Amino acid sequence: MVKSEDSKNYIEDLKKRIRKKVMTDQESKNIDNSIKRRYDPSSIILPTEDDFYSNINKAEQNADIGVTVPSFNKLFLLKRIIYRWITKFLFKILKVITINQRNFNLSVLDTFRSGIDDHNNLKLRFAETKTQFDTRIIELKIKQEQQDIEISKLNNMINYLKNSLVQLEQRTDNISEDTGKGVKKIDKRKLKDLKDEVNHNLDSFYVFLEDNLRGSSDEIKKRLHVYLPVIKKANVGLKDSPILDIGCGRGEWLELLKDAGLYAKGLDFNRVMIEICKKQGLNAVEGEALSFLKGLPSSSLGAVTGFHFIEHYGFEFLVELLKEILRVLKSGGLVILETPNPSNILVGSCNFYVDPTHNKPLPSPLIKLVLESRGFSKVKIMCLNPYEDDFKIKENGSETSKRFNDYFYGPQDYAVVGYKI
Amino acid sequence: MKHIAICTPEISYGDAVSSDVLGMFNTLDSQNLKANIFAENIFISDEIVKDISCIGNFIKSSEDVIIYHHSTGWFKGLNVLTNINCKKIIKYHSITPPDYFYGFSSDHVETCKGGIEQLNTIANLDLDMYLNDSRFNMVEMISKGVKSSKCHVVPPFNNIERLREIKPDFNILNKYNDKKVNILSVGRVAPNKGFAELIDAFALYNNYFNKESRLIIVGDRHPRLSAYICYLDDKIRSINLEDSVLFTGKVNDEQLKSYYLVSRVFALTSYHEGFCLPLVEAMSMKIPVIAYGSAAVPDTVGNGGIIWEDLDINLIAITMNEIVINNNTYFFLGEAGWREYQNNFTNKIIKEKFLNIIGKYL
Repeated sequence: MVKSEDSKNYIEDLKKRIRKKVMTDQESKNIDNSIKRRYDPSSIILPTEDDFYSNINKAEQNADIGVTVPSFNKLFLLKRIIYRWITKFLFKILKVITINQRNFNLSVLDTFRSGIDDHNNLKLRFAETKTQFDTRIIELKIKQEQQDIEISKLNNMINYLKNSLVQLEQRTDNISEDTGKGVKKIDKRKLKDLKDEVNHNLDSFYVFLEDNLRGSSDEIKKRLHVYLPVIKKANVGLKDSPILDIGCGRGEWLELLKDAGLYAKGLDFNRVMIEICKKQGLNAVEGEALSFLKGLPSSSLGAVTGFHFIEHYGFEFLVELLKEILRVLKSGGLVILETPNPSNILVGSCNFYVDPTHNKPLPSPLIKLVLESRGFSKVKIMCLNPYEDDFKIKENGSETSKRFNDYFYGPQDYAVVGYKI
Repeated sequence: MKHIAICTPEISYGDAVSSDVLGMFNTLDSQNLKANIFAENIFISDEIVKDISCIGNFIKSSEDVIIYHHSTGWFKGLNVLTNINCKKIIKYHSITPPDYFYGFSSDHVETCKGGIEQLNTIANLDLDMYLNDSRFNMVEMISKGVKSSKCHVVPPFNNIERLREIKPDFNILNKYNDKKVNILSVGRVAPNKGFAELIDAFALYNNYFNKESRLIIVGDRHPRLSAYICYLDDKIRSINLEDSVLFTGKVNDEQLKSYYLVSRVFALTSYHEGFCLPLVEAMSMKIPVIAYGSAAVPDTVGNGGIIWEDLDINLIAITMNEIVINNNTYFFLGEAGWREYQNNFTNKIIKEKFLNIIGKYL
């Protein structure tokens, strides 16, 4: 074991050796001087304006020769007169000899003085220009932000058009193929395919809606972060307890799980969403939730999640879905279902209906009760995503304003979490 | 029973301040004390965390306690701190001086300015106790006018025990455990971290001692600091080190552990650190530490690594080489760092210190 005193001495010795190397050793001589430098910002002390002026004043006092003749007060009268006379005489001679030097000195000082004045003027002008420049930068930043929003909208529109085009191409290919084969009458299988195809008519449009209404992938990921500790605490998402995300959409949750090193699979009815997931290297398949779950063996999953999924379906479907989820979960596994929170008045009365595919708002006490009645245990509600403070009215301690803020700007979503014992 | 509220602007898993907050909570909880965390931005789902606006329902008596973490400007928190009637303890995590961000990010300049203004306010409030991450932070607090008898040093609780236990990311281990020597630095890519000097020092080392070397910088490259990031990228391009300098961006704990495991040296040239948790992480992983002794860095490293009092890239480059070529130095510094960690920074030691200091208010 290394003792503290030992390491102190060792490190001091080592530092001495290294300093010596830097100063004298061949190694340091090899180092290119162009990049060899010392850096210590605190050691650089710049002179102030006052320093400049006082130095110039001092220099000015010494710039001229023989302006004052020494008094020689300590000398006796005769001696003093002689000394003063000699000094005056010498000064006269020196003045003649040094006239050019003195003129030079004074003009140098004048130049310095005007240089400092110019410098101060420039500083002022620079400060003005900098303020203008800063203002301009802020303006440009605001403009850029506005443009970014426009560009993002345009990108969403381009994606929508691209997706629609791909879907159209696929359909055209199918029709051409059928035409090539000379289909004369439509059999039952073909009819079912055609019906299925109609169900996907709006796939691109739903992606477009998601892009524009639900929020960017980064925002969604930030919101979903809250569930990672729940998953980690339950110790699921391992190879033998994978996670199924129903209605995985653009795959934000799947990406988070993947980054956290957890095993997960996504399921979505929307083909365009599945394509988006696959492009990101995520494990996602196209399918309908209930029939997919029915095809899974019992006790095969660690968790089933569904974000903004259940509100798209009716009550009977939800009951059936929970029954299947309970069956496929392993003991200790969990279900997480997130949905808009209708107890927020803005959500319940308006925002919920922005998505035309929503069925009915689902109050949290009802969903909690349904999970408990279906056999889930430790069921709890997580209230999420309240409005930013900027939206809220100032509370000032009043009960009415507090309630108002709770009802209007409280959590916009909630999640129900239940476990299989 | 007294109630203890631990307040912080934001709580999530992984960042240093949150680890400290959760460590405090666990410590108080283990003593059967009634504690709760209050935050404004909550990124964890635990029931122990509540919104700061609910604090009035929890702190009801003047004998209850608030432990307020100051790491950035937080108007809502400061408002609570000023108006609530109870015992008040500050935990100061240091604010980076705004000067480092001028010309790179006006947002950061404003945030740091706000943090410093609030630090002055907090100091003037003359609260019951001021805990500081390091001696450096404590000196700063005293310089703001706080009585020295009210100031104490308690290092932040950390996640190092977990980091030492978890499995590393094997993809990273396989990729970077090659014939190259890895020099590591950890910290978000920000101007106060002095990465330009670190790159210069590494350039010397790479150029004159070991072409087969790589500098790995682990830390968030936030778009708000893109001006600084571009400056570093340009610098690296101009000295043809694109293939030898790696910025990993933000990583998870498993990946972080792997980068520590594949590295031979940990180097830090930061101009300002209030504590610097990565130094302790490196010491706990027995990786020799070289650092520029700015701000709290000497307090944290102690005798567990090499501290240079001046930021001289030659000294740093030659120290890198000494550690790489001399096994005795490598093992000795690794052991010295490990001892420093064991003596000062395990959660057990921090817990004892914390309870000992705040005991009279519990």
